[in-house]
Amino acid sequence: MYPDTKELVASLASIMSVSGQEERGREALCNILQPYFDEYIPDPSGTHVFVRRCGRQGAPKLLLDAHFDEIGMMVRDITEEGFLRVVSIGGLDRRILPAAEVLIYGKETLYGVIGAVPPHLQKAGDHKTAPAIEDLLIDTGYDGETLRALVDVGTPVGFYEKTASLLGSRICGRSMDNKACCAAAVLGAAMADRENMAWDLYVTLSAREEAGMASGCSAAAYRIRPDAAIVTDVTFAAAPGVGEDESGKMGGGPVLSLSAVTDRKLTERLLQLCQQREIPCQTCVDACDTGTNATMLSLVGAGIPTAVVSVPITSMHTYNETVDTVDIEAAAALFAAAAKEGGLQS
Amino acid sequence: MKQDWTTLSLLEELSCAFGPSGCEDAVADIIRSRIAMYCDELLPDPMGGVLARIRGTGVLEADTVSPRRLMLSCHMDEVGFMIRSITEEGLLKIASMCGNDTRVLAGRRVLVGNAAFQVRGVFGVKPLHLVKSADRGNALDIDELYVDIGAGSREAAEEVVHAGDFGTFESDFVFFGRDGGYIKGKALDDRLGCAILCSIMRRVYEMGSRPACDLYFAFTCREELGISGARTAAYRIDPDYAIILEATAAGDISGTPEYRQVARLGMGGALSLMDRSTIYDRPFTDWILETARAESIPCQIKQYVSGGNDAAHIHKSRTGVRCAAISAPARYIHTASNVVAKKDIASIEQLLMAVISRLYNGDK
Repeated sequence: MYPDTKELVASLASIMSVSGQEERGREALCNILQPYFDEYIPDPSGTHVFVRRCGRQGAPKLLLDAHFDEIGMMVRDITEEGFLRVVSIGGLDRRILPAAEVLIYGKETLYGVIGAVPPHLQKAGDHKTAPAIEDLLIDTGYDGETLRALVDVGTPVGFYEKTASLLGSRICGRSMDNKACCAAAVLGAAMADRENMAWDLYVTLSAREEAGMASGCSAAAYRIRPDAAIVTDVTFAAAPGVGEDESGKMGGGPVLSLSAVTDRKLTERLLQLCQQREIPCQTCVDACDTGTNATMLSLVGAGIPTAVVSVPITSMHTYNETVDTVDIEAAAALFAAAAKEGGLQS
Repeated sequence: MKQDWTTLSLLEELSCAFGPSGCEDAVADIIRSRIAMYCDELLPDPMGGVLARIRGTGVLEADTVSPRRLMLSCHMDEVGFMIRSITEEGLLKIASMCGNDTRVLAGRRVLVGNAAFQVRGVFGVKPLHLVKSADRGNALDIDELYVDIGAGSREAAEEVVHAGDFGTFESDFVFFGRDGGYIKGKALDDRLGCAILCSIMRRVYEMGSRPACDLYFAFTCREELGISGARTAAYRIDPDYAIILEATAAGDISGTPEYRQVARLGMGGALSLMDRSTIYDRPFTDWILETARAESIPCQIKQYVSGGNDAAHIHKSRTGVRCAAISAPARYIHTASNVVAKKDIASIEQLLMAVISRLYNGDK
């Protein structure tokens, strides 16, 4: 039994997980994932660790890491008039923020709109400049006094857009980076048949990737000490302004990274597996940096052979990141296949 | 039999309806179905607007008109865009129909199609990571923007949309803020005017008695383009007086000095004295202000000379029309996230009823 891909992505994306706040979603997350795993291990780093066991004592451990956190904001000021000023968490795109809708996760979850300066108050040429994040005001519809009772400095703020369907198998919404890959990891684990698994499979939905620290994944991996690891994260899909050799094709299957920091043998074994199982896949070249948790993860303990398997998305770091569920399912098929294969690490 | 809607429930329905300038039929259909039973006749309008008449006393014959006619006008269209072409990859290139502030387009969810059928799309953005750091603070140019409907190829896209099709924002209708006192939605400019006028028609019609003059209600097209359907509507109606119901940009946000705020949410409808295209009739405007004061109905004066509305065309119609404009203060106008205060909608409706009640007494 495995979940419907779009529903799984939508339910994961609905859990607020702005970097540093990943633990708040624990209960909701465990409720969704509980049918597919044998064990949940909370980690002090904020990372959620889910284990699916093969049932053999002393089995090797395969770690499948998908960062769980999302970009967002944090309240830094609450004005008399009931507006919020924020700092950004992760790489927020200034160009898409005016009039964007947000949720403010205070004592209650409040709705807000990021203010846009009306045209008559703009100076000539202003429309060519994206406002600085420090100048943005979030309109909450409250007066300052009432608002201060509901929201504190430090309250996280996330985007509003729920997951929605486009044509065919494509979906859009907030936090496809990286809930699409969280879904791929979970789906892959759910598809892995316990009797045929060569590994104990550890899925880490890790904390604080977007904040640039990768601390969630490395702390959890240190505790787990896996024999091999696959990092799954989103990558750029081909789109206007995105070069063909720096992107994957949407609908073309997961993108395997060829990089100096990833384990080439493991990567080649995974490519082979795709070929054997007729799973569509593609490769991309990330010479020195995959832009994922892989670098930190490969350096944990005495070192972990690590590969990167990505799902291509467009409009990354906007509130309407777009992804093809076909790619999520193909990545999941690869993860399920990998869970069956012994000796991937050698 | 009274229809089962309120100003706010109708506003929600109208806000979510698809009606960019030049493609207002879906909005017109909703309005026609709500008001047909609350007027004496619907007038033909080749421009696509909805024009309705409630006859005044003494002019109950269909073909006769009152010597005095008041026109109440709002516009049905919303800011939008048109599909210019479809790329080989199935992406839609667009021509803006809402000025040039692309900052409120990038990343947004939209609907594209025609009055009968639309599909969802997203204004795609080149990921920040691949943008040179010097350019990250630059707004995107309209030519850089495209709508992705998930087609993947030109052929797949052309099965559902075509060059010349229309687009608008897709945006939930949300009550928020203290006691849910604020509304966020798309096209509140000027669907709130439409919703208020529908309510006024029902209230007037249900009073059972008739005003001293003819009342004409005009729901017009293409206001946002400045190519106003109100111009031809005014020609047909030939009014002496007109009140334009609109939404105006409110700047009452933190950090904006009071003298630059233009209008404030929660303080009632804003009466215009002058904007970029009209100097409003002062005695008529003063009479409305006086009415508000006498009835203790909140209202304010728009404290800035900016923008323009259907009055630009109506006041110049035929031999001239005395115009006043009442606007709901709206933040973030011309974006997917217009914000208005619920109580301003109630105040404007109340003020219009008070004005019409004075007309019953022949008091103008």
